[in-house]
Amino acid sequence: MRGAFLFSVLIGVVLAVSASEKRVSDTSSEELFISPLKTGHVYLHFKFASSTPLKAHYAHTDYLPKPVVDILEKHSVDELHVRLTQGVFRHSKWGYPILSAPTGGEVWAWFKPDAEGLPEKWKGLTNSLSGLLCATFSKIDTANSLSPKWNFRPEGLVPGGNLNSSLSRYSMLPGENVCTENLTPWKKLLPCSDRAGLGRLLNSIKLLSAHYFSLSLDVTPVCADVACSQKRLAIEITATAVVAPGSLQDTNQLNWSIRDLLEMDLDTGCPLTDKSHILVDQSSQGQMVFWPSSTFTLTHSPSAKGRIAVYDLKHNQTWEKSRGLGGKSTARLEHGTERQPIISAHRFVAGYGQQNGGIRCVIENTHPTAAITVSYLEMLPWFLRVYFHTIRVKSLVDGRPIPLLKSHFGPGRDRLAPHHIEVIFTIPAATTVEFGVDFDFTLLKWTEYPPDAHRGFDVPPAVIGVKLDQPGGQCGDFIFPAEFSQLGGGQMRDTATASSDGQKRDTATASSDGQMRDTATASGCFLRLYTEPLLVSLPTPDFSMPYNVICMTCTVLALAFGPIHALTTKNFKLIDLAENPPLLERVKRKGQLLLTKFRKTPPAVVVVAAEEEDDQQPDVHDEDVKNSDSE
Amino acid sequence: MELAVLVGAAAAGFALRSGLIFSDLPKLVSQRVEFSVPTNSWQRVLEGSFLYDSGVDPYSGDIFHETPLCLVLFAVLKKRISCFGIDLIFPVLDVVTAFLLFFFARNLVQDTIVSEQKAKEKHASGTSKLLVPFADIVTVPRMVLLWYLFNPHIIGSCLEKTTSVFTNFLLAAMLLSASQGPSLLSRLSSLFFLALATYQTLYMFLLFPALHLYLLQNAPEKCRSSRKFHIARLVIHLGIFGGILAALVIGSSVIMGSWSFIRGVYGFAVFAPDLTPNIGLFWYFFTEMFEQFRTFFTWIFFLNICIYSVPVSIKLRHDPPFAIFTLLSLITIFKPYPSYGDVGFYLSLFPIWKRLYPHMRQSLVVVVMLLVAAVLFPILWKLWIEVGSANANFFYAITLVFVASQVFFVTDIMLAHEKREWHLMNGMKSDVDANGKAAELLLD
Amino acid sequence: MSNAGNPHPPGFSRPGAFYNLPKLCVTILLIVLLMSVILSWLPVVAQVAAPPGSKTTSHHTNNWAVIVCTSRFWFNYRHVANALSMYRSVKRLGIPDSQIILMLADDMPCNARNPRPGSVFNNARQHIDVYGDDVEVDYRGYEVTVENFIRLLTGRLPPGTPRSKQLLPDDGSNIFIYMTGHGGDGFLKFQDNEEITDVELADAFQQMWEKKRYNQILFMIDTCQAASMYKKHYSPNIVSIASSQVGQDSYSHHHDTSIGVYVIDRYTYYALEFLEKITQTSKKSLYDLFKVCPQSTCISTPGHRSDLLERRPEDILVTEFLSGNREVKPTHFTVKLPDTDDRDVNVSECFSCNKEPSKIDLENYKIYSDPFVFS
Repeated sequence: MRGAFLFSVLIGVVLAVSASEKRVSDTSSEELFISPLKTGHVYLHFKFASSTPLKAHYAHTDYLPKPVVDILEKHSVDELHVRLTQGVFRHSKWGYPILSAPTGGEVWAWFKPDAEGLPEKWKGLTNSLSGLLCATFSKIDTANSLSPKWNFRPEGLVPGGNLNSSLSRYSMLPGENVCTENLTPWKKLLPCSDRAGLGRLLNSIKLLSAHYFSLSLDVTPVCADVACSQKRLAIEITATAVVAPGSLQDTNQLNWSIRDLLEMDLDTGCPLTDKSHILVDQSSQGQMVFWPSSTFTLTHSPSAKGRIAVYDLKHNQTWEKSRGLGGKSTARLEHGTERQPIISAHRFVAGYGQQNGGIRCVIENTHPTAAITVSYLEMLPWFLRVYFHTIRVKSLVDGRPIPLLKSHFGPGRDRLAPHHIEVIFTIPAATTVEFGVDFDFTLLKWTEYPPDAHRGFDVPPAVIGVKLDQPGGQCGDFIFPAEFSQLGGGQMRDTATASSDGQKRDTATASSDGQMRDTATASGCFLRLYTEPLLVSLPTPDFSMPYNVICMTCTVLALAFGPIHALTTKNFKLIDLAENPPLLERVKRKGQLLLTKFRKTPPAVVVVAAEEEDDQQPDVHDEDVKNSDSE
Repeated sequence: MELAVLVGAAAAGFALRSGLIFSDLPKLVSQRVEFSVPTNSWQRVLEGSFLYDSGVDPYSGDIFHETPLCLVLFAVLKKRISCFGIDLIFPVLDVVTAFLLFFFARNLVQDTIVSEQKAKEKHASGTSKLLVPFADIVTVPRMVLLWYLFNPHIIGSCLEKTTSVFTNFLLAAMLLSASQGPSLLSRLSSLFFLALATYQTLYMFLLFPALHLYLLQNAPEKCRSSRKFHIARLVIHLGIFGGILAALVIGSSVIMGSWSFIRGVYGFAVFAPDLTPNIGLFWYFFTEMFEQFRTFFTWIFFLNICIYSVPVSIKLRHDPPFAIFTLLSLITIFKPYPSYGDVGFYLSLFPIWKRLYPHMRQSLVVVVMLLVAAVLFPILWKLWIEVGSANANFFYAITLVFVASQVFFVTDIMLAHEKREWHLMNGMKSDVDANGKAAELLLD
Repeated sequence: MSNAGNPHPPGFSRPGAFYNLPKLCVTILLIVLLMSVILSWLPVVAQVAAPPGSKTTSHHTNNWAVIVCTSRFWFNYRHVANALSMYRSVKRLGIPDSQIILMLADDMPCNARNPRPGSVFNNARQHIDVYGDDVEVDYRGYEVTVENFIRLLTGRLPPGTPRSKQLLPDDGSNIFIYMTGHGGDGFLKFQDNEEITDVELADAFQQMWEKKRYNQILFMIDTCQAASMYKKHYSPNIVSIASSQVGQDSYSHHHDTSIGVYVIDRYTYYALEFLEKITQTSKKSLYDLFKVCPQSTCISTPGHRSDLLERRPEDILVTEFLSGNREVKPTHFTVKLPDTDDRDVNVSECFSCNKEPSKIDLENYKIYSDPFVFS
């Protein structure tokens, strides 16, 4: 009896242990950050994050999308970042986004050190991504991808701690367009898809009419705590949109609501997530009234102004029907810029005609006293013949050349590799500089032009990486407060962290989904800017001409070959004209012979005439004429 | 008097070129496709040297197609001479080339007159006016000098600072040293210059058979009939030429540290992957090529350039300088990246054979076509590339006209040469044959 | 040759033997060859021997749909609307996205000219958004080429092609292939710079037949002179419907003044009207589908071809091609599934190994020290 009891206890313990082992070890959270801007737009940033313990092989994942994890495993990928964007983020009007993205598509990945056959793995990765996200990432191959040298460092853990930039691959597709067909499979990667929680708010019609819309997928291995005793694989799926409420045209006040912007109703959060928050940035709108009142608020660090209201959907947040969440401003819009950005860049094509041209990128540092060091990466397609010796950076204020602190030039190969320009230079305070490079256009093979060849070819955006110093308060000038990075993540990497359920800041705890990125330097935050993509037109051949060209060119070749062959194989001789009359003469005689046959003359007469012609040798032509006349 | 004319012409030519180079004109007409092609463009030389200085292999990209020695030479010059000095090198070299051609023309005319006088017994009667007159010793070299100095093709090529200037210099040096006589030094130097020219522009190796025959021409008469002599000479010449060329190539690989320049310099010349429009036939042909035929036609075009070398040399073995001239023009017509600099070079040599002019039948057509092409090239290029109202076919048509005119020129001049030879041997009349019957002079 | 050793006169074979051995061998060889030729033709004969209408039931187990729009540029908006209309019908009737290959040569919904981004309408009055919220385009933009289309049909795609871009039918698959764009007598234009001919299409279908990649194909095409595209079919079990005969143009239906272009073609408009009334349990047959859009409404005369079928069109339901219905056969025996355990990694699940999956050295993962210094 006791034995049976003990045995059942043992069984129970074993079952409990095994059950606890089968407890869900994945974490998942969803957040929406809303920031009404001074220009009358509303910045929306959806973030769906989930993580699982880092393993060699994932047989099963609870919240992480299995297709993504499978793709990572199959192609030996350590870190993956995918962006699909429509529109250009207007830094001068809206400030800086949480996550920067270039127009079109962008994929960059860090492969595991033991990955074999990197070109094939990269191609396999991009093919799989194209099938996963319904985008033409399969167009990515060696001709439009490169390994960046100083930019695009890993954002998470690096195996072995040593950086080998040949393990990274980066590519941009500026001609890629974003549409519902990309949003649909992307939504299916979320734990609750678009059925519950914040995923329900992703209304494709409203998001695709936005001034800026970007989808992204980031997969990084991270530490779960400061001591990094546990490592996790974190997947962040974000959507960013800058929308303008419909009422903006009627009134000069910014009145917005989720209902108005996205035409969807809020509900309780996704049941599978641990955390489901909506954060509303109340810092920039001093005269805006928000409703409903929030669950709690966070305050910024003293250096920045304002507050963030946090609505927790999981803790009985109620929404007024037909009102949802929104804000109403009590003052007129300023229609100014949100904040003067520290640094902004615009890029242009220089020159005219289709023979040669150039790229000019104007970068402006508006800080009055601090010089900023930037890293500039350009990936120019191979069909532009880039002259690296024309690369120059000069100040537009006084024309002085700016020295390059470091530079990396990788000449491109036709059809095999793009041109790789990476330079690092310092922009003095309150200065505008211009980066310039010249190139020639090439004529491609006729099969290499797209069906609409006269539209032109896309040149990917340039990437500018900037490290800003915290003490100068520059990091506070962002569209989002520093704390948000610890709640949700993003580009900001402060060492100070915040916990998610308090108004004070702890210095060392991590949020529940293991967002501790790295313990980088205490100074600074990192910003990545993308310029506009460019459109260049290449000279085009006439596409209907292959046969004609072959015929005509070979005719000219034959025009040379014929006479020279005759000259080299034959000698000049005097040819007896009577025995070997020229061709024209022979044709003439044959013609006259036929003519006489058709006239009503007996054949015998014709034979006689021919014999007569033979007898008379010189002046044959005259005799012919005479004879035919007499007939 | 003669000296004054020469010095005056040299000064004028030099002044013209320098004046233009240091004016604003190069900026306006920079990178004209007729003069600047991927193999001789100065912009690319600057690019290659910049990459070399930055520690990047210039041949790792697809932009630099000059030889490693040129790279090293330019690097050395940049350190020693200023930019101004480097710009001056081109007019100086042009004038030097003009003088080299002057002396070559004089040697050649003298040799021709001497040999014609020696062979006078073999000539038919009444053909004395076909012979080269003595006055030509003075007039022809002067014409060659003036034609070279004031040829717009050559001036433009110098203005654009193309490396055709160097190629022309090497070819002129080769011709002059070959014409100097039977000494070992002249033979060595002519083969050396040919090797240098081949090292820089691949297709010059096709001149070797004709040059070899030219070098044999000055050998003593009694040796000429022996077969062993011929074979020995061939082996020696081939050995010298091949040896110098191999030394240059291997030396370049040592300088560069790898063999990557073979693909960039010689592979490029054979396969012509760069389809930038120029005045040749290759670019549009390979733009519009069906993919499955690309390799086939690449080899056909390469063969087309090479195939004329030996037959023409053999046919014109009694007049090797003319064979060199003909081969030079054929190479220029059919090579993948011709430029006006190459065309101007052989056109400047034409006065040497002005005795053939009366026998040429298509001179009007050739001149008119050349003028039309010269006028229409820039117009149709601008219309296609800058204005956008024409398309590639217009420019291609003028390319065809230009190439056809050169083809007519070469075939005409070869025919004229053969006809003159025939007349010299058989008399002036060619419309009646020996029996008094009507006849015609035909190739048969 | 002397006959000294031979007692018989020349030309006379041995008594008792009625045959010459070499001649016998040759005769036998010839007979064997003839038999083999005849026998090898039998399967082909058997294939076409079954007269149309002889089979009565369908044997299809799954459905696929390939919907192709081949036209580029904004003024061909209606072709994208055609393709999306068919896509919507096919999805509504139950074929899942994983079994639909949608190829759109240009982006109309998110085109800069579209006054309503994210939507494609096929009807100016009713404003049905055929693009909608749940759409997966498998081949888009420059990927829609003749080569990709034929590779898709014949299954000869390059390795690494994702599964959503592959057509993976078997011999029980009914495939609905819909093509729309600009066409002519014997060709269909792709992307304004290349074309697929009727012969190429027929050969692609024959390759599919030989590889057993379909049970039956419904081929619907809405272009000018569409009937020319099916005249060269020679593989069995293909039924084709075209919007116009050879020498006729297909016409568009109406335009939307706010969008500025024609939004749908006539044949597809009326075909859609017909299909809107079809449900998964509908009993309409292909014969009814053939009668859609007569010349009075379509201006062109739609054509069809069903002689390659083994069954009569009246006996084939429309839902056999356009719906996700399938025959279900209940089994009477149980199937034992293997246990799955998180720790038990099945080697076949592991992509990158062909042996024991190696454990990564978790300890060796370190934090990269300073990603912001450009060194």
